[in-house]
Amino acid sequence: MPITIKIPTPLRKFTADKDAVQVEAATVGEALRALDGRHPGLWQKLVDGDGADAKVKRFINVYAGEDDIRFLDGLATAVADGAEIAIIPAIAGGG
Amino acid sequence: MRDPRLLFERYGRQLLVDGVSVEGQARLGRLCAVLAHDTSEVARSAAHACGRWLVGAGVGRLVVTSGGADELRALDADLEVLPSPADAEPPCAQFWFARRDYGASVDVALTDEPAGWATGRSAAARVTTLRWVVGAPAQPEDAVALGAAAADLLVADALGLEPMPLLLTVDWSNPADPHSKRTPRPVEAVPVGVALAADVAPLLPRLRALPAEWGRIEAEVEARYPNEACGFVVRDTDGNLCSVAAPNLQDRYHALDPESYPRTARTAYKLNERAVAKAESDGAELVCIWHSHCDAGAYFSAEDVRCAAPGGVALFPGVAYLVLAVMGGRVRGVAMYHFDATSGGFAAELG
Amino acid sequence: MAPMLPPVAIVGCGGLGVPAAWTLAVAGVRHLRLFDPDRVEGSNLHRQVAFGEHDVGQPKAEVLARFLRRHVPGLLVEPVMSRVGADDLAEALAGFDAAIDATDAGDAKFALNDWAIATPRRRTACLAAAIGRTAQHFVVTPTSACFRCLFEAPPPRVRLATCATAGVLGTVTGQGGAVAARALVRALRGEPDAATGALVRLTPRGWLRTAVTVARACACAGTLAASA
Repeated sequence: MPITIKIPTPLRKFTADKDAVQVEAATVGEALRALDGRHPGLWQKLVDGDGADAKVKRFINVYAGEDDIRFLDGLATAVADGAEIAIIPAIAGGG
Repeated sequence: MRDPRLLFERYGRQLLVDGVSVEGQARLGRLCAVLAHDTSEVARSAAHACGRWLVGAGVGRLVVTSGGADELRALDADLEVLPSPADAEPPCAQFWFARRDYGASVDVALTDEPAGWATGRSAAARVTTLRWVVGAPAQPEDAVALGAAAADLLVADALGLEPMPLLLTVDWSNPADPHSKRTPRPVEAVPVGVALAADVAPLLPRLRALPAEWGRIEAEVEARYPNEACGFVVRDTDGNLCSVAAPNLQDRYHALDPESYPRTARTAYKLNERAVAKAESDGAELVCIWHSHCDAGAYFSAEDVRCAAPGGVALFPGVAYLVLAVMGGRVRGVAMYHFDATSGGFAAELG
Repeated sequence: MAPMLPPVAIVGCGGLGVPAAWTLAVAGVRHLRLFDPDRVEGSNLHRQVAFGEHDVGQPKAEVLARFLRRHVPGLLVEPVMSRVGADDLAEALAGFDAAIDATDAGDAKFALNDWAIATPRRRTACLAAAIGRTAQHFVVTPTSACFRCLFEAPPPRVRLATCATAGVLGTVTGQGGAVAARALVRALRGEPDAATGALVRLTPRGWLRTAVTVARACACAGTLAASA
C-alpha cells in the first residue's frame, strides 16, 4: 500500500494542481525524496540541507499522523503502509 | 534632562569604556523599560535586579508591574516611573522574566519607532530571548545574575557596544564547560504599510459585528495574557463567520529547538495547523488568522511578516491577519492586515 | 530543604560586592560580614546599584547592610568600615570559613587565597574581579587548585589598569559579582561548579572557563597533602 502525501495549496503549482501524491516509502524522508523524484524541486522547497543533518524548513510542517515530525524522529520518522503525510505551511508569528 | 556635569560624574566610569559615547548614554536616557515577570520568586527578583542595573546605567523611564517602584525611584531623582505598560511610549524595551524547566528565560521586545507604538502600524519590534540554562528550574542564587545579564543586553545595545542578538544562551548546565552562544539577528528588509487595495473587502467591521465570534477572540487573548494567544476564523458551508481559538504551541517548539525557535510564547505564537486542516476538511474556508501582542501595539511585526510571507511569498495569500494588542491583560487595540501580491507587503484595514 | 549555608565574609562592597552580597543573601546565607573602608560617591552609582543618590557620603558597608536587611528579612549583617589586608585578614575573618574578595586590588586576592589554603584546609574563598567589559572569578575549596597555581604572584600595582582609568560597565560587574557568589554558594553546598579550582571569565563573547591543575611547586600542594 502506498503512502499518501497531502500537498498544500501554495505548493500545488509543483504538482500539476494535485492535492495529494502517492509514493512508496518507509520513512518520511524517503517519501519526500520520492515526491521530489516525481515533481522535481519540491525537496528544496521543503527541506534545508541534503545529508544526515537535513531538516524541514522552519515555515513548513510535516505531519505524520497526528504529530509534527519534529517531535518524532524528524525525516527518519517511520511510516507504515497506507499512512498519510501532511505538508502544511506553518501558521506563526509574534509581536 | 540631567546637568552635563552630573552626567559625567554619574556615568563617567561607563563613558570611559571603549566604544561608549555620550550619544549612546543619551540614547539610554530616552529608553522606557517595562519590567514584567511570571509568578515565580526567581523571576520577580531577577526583574527587580534588572531594573536596578538599568536605572544605574541611565535608562530614563521605567514601568514596573509589581511593587518596588519607590525603591527604584530612590536610585535616581531624574527617573520617571510610569504606572502601567499602557503609558509606555517608545523607544521602549519590554522585559519578560520566566522560570523554565531548563532554568529561566528573558524575552526583551524593543520597539523603536514612536509612530508604530502609538498607531499600531510599525514593524519595528525586535525581540531578543535570553536563555539561562542551569539544567533545572532556576534557583534563588540565579536571580541577581540573571537580572544583570538581561540588563546587559539592552545597555550594551543602547550604548552602541553590541546589537541585541536574536537569541543568547548562557549555559551553566555542564560545570566542565560553561559557555555562551549568541545567535545574531538576520538582516532583513520588511515591506509593510502598503495601501489597502480598493477591491479588498474589509473584514474587521464584519467580524466585530458578531458579538459571540468577536467575544470569543477577546476572551481568549485576555485569558492567555501574558502569553500570546492565537486562533483563526473560518466561513462555514452556510456562509457564516466562525472564530476558533487554538492552543499556542510556541513554548513546545522553543523547548525542542531553541535555535530555530528562539522566542517563547510571551512574544510569539505557533498555531496548531492540524486544527485548521480539520476545519477545512469539514468544508469550511479559512478567512483569517489572529493572534495577540502582549504589552505591545497592534502592528504587523517583522516576525509576523517573515512567518506569513517568507521570502515575500504569502503562505496563505487570500487570508487576512488580525492582531490584537493586549496591555496589562486588556485588549487595547486591533488591526487587520491583508497581503498585497503586487507589492509583496501587508496592508492594514483602516479601522 | 537545602542544607544551611555557613557565614560568609565579603571584602569590598562595590561593583562586585553589591551583587555578590545580594546573591548570597537571597540564596540562603543567614550571616554576612561586609568590609569596605569607603563612602558612596556619585561615580559609584551606575554599578553599585544598592546605593541611591541620597546615600552619597554614607559608608558603603552600612548602606549595603541596610539594603540587604530590607530585601531579606531575618538576615544577620555586620558592616565593618575598614580595609582588610594580608596582615589583619585572619583576625577580621575569625569565625568565618567562607569569604569573597570583591576588591579591585590584586594583592588582596592573593591574601584571601593564602587565608583559604592555610593548614588544615577547611576554608572556601572566591576571588572576583572586573574591568571594562570583562569579569572573572576563581573559587578555592579545601580540595581544589588555588589562585597561585595559576598566577604565581600579584602583578605590580602600577601596571594594572583600574576601573577609574579604563572604565567599567555596571551590568558586567553585576554579572561578575553575582555569578561569583553563585559559584561560592554551589561550592559551599558541595555541588560541582565551573569555577571550583578554575578561572571563569566573562568577555564580550560570553562566559569561558580555564581549568587549573594543582601546580606541584605551589604552596597549596603542600597544604592539600597535609590535609588529606
